[in-house]
Amino acid sequence: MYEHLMENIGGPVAFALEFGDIVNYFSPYTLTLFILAFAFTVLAVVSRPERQIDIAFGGDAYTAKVITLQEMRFRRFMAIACGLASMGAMVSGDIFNFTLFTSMVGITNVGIVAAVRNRHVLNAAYEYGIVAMAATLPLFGGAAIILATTGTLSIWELSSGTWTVPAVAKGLLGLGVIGEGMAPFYAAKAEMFRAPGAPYVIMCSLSSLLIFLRVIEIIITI
Amino acid sequence: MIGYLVSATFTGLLMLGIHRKVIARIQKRPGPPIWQEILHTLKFSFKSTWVPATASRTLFIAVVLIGIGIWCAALFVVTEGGSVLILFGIYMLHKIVEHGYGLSSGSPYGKFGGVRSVISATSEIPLFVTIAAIYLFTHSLIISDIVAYQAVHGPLLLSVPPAAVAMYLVLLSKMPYGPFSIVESKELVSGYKTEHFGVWRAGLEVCNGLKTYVLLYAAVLIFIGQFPIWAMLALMLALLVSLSFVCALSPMLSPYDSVTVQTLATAFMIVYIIALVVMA
Amino acid sequence: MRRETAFKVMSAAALACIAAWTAMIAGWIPAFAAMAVFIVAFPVFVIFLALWWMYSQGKEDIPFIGY
Repeated sequence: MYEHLMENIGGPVAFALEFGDIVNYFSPYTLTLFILAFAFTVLAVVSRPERQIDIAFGGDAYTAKVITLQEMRFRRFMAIACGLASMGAMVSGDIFNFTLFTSMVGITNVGIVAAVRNRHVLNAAYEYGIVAMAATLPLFGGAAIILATTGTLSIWELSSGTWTVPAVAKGLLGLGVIGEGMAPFYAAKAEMFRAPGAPYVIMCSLSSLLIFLRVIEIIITI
Repeated sequence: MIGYLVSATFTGLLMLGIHRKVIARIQKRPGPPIWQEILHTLKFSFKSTWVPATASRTLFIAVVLIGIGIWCAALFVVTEGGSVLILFGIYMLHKIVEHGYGLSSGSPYGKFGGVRSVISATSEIPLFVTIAAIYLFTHSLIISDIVAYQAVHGPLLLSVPPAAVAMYLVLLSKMPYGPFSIVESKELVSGYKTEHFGVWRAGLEVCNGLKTYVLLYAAVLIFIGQFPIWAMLALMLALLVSLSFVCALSPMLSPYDSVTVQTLATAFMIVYIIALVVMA
Repeated sequence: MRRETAFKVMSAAALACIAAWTAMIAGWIPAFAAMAVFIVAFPVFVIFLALWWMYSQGKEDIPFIGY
């Protein structure tokens, strides 16, 4: 058992950077998540998209989709932005920064598929956008309640055991992140993965998994 | 440590072979020999290999490396007594690797396998409810602390049986030929694995071997406790055979049914956790 | 890629693993550093070992599109 409560959850803190009461830290857990976010962002930067093959039903015919370079440039930009937002969410020691990065992940996820010329994908992106937008209300609401009841948003401070964070705030925070693309709201998101451009599309699901993994740590810690 | 890594890979592959054999015997088939998966891995590593013309080359190769890498990391986390959250984070990120396998080739079958792997993301949620239940008892998520807790208070299997059931469901959803293995269902040829042939497939098999070993080892470690290695292996084998029975006797569910069953299990676990917290 | 390249990468990965292991046993580097090396080098070793055994110069093919 470690002295600081937080270290019993993600492991001993390897590095901490203080900005006043806000402490950005790397525990083995957040470091693992950060490295994975980084690795997939690098992949989005360096890999070229695949050429998707579709089968025409009822015959042997198949078609290859043609995608313009301009469209792919925009989507790559969005994928990199998404990777940066998830990296930020992994290292942030401040709940408000975390919620900001989370909502940025939601926006960039829509951006990654918004340039695709496919009706199904665009419909799915639209539906996902609405859910993600609605989910920001509990997300920021949760952070606001935490600030109102304890007077601080620093995860480090909150984990010291001197504060009692109301369960409803934790619940809202969790609900907000789930709304950004975890079960059961990912149903719309699954359709978005029909879009070509695997290195970029993967960032959609990676980012929501990562923020979900991080919020679990935060909810248990505070 | 290198020796442990290599032997864990081969033990995991052997366990997958035993899994197939048990399923076959229950279904009154002779079944392949138990070392079949090891032979598979060696066979694939000797086959001619290239990257499909339509594939996203870098991603196609990188996901194989990442797949093996994350399960190596998981093995070290389990053996060195790191945080159980890291292990489960890796378990969830395996989904992204499956996804990458499926989408990177441009093949329609791989793509549907990848999309299904995203749909079945519900299988991970019981895991976090399990973690919450464990935390309520042990007040620590470091594996060495959990083991120490069990040495004093007895196995967690007896103190939080519903969490153990949820963990069992999680293991079941990662076993091949099980009711939840919709990502590699035969109507999709081989699902997300379809386009990874030859050396890439051998890499995937290594990843599967490590994954099987790590998950079974972690399940025994977290819910029963730490024993000498032969006892650990015996317990893992017992767990595996019970999983094989479930896989042999249950049909593969349709994708939406599989998601529904997993969601119901999650809902049950959440109710259980709330009950635990209220009683505490 | 040529077979010699695959062999070189494979040997480099194997050497990295062995060096990290030796350094850890001797106490020159902490265990987690050795593990980090294994996590990176072991997958590379596995894949390039197989590529060294068998890497065809075969022509690229379109994906599997049906029976």
